[in-house]
Amino acid sequence: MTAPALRERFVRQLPAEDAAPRRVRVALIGNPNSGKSTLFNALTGMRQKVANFPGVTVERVEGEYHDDGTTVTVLDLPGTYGLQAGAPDEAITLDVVRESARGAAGADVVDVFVVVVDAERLERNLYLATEVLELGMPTVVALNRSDRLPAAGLEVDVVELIHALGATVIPTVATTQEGVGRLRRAIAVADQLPRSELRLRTAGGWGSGAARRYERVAAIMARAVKRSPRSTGKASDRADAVLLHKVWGPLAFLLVMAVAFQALFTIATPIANMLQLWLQAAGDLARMVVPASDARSLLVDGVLGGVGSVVVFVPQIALLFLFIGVLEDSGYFARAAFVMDRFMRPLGLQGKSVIPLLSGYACAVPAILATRTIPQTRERIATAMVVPLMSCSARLPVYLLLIAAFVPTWSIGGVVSVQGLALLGAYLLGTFAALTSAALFRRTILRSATRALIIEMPSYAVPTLRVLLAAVWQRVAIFLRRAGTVIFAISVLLWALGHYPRADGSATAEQQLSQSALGHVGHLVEPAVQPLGLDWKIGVAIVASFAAREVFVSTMGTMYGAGGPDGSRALLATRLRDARAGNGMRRAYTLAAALGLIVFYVFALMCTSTVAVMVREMGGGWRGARWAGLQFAWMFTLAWLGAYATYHAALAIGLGA
Amino acid sequence: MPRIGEGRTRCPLAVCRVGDRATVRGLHCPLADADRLRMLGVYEGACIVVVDRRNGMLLDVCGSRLALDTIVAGAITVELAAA
Repeated sequence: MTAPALRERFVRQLPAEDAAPRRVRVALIGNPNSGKSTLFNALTGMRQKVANFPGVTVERVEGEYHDDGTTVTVLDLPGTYGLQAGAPDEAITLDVVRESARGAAGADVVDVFVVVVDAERLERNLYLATEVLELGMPTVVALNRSDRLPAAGLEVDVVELIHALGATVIPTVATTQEGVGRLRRAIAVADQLPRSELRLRTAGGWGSGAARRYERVAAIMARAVKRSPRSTGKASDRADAVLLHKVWGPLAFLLVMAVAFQALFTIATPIANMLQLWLQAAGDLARMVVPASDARSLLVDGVLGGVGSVVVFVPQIALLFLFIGVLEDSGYFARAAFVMDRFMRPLGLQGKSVIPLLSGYACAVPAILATRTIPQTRERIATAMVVPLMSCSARLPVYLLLIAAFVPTWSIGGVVSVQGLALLGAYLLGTFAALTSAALFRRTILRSATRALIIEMPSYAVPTLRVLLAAVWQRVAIFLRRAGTVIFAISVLLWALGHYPRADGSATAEQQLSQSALGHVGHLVEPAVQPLGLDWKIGVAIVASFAAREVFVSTMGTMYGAGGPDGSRALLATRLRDARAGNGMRRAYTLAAALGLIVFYVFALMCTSTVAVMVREMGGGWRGARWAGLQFAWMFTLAWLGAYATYHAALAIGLGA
Repeated sequence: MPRIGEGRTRCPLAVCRVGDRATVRGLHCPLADADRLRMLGVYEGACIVVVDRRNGMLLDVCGSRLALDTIVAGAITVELAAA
């Protein structure tokens, strides 16, 4: 068949004009990190998470678009290198393939497969493409990242590739939406085209071995692809020579982390302070406009004091996610997994556990989901058990408040601030606890041999600003939504509990709070926190933050709005530092107690979402609940004992003044 | 005995030097790891190039970079191409 005839047959054939409206289910299948999720977003207009490392998508995600009267449902599947399950995320993809090939009915069945092929790694990606084509299902091949072909030293004759594969091939660049329109049209007609003949050839005796399949792939490459010297490899290898080096690699990793935590203070804190001043101005305005009443107190102390004290940390949260986004999109995450592999092995884990652990710095929920890429069950459980010990973004407001209130503002050499070091210390302590806990679990209840590390290194890429900002905004929006719902509700509830029942008219704000329902709860939990050098108010904030850690800050904001002198313009951190106890004779909180409290929050698992996802991911039901219960108990025990030890050690070295 | 890197010598991948080109001759690791390696292009007969070996092994396989730890690299037998 001639090239123009092929083009006519595979690309330009459109559905009949009188065709009735119909529904088509399409699955995007491809190697990990081939750009499936970016293509999914381009097709559906959704904002599924994308990044530059293998194993970003671990669940099937559904989206929809309409094309010429056809409703197309698109499934974004976890990446796989072949039709052979290894890890739990790959099993999800293989279920869809198996059910669809059987022609069974159900949610897992699709009408059309779109094999997303990374043009830069064409030979390896064609391995899976030929496997899918052999199923005999309607299939379209998306030759994604086709703009990188020249740099990879490849020149693809698309018509020849169509000929060799017997399927429609559409060059695409998902990041710029190039070719997405043509891909939509190809999907619309895919079920009306002849099936690929690869299936028939297999029946004729190709065999199924990897070597024979790669031989066939090599023949396809020889027919459709011309090779010339690569222009990207050398720069990438030079970067890898440093970042994957035995000594420089881990040092570069530590340097990257240290710079990021210093940046959280030096860049974001001034912006956060400005937000704090605006909130105080809003409070002052409310005091001027609204007459003194419970309603004014609710607005100023409850809402502005509670929700506002959390919202001021948006700049730090945004910067943290920007930093994690840059690491993910640049291709560094997979390198970190490789570099850290030899440090993980003595602990009973392998390098692949590093990616969920690093993701835990952002949020434990997706990080626990990311453990699905670990093929060995016991390694996977051990990693999920310790992921919440990595300090997530919800802990950041707690650390920042306590550090700003109690850690001196000295700097070392005018460059490194002690407060920045304290923050880095909190993150390192969490990481250390995660690794040693994993080692303990792997030597006791989760003992097994550690699997080998086999991981593909993605190409380095300059992160796209648009994608980065979209991801940061998505996370900030989630944070603000929580502030507007959960934290708002808890702030209002705490305000009410702190104001009722009413004490007599002559009572000070402090006495009112102490005699309120909230005060009674606080006095009830005080014996548990007193050995840590903390009082009943902190006890209340800890209890309230069992729902979500950042509630600690909003609770302190509400209580120190209600309990502090009326009209005070001081920052919450200053109020905590100046808080007095024992009839004003001594400071309510010392540096020793604050350090203990930071350690408590480094270790404690106080997040209902994490507990829920842990139950689900560990098998659900009683089995899942057992692991989640053990995790909670382990972390809470570490938290209390860690806080106790820190407080008393700090007292011993004279930090209790 | 021929030195590694000279002639057509069979040896574990783990002892290859940076820049060595080799043909995979055997995968002596657990079946699940062997299957994964084959899917990723490290199959019996595949041509590979050692890109880095300072921290595990970094290979050029089918135009992509594949990282292996030293244990699995030791379980792969290769035949070095003539220097």
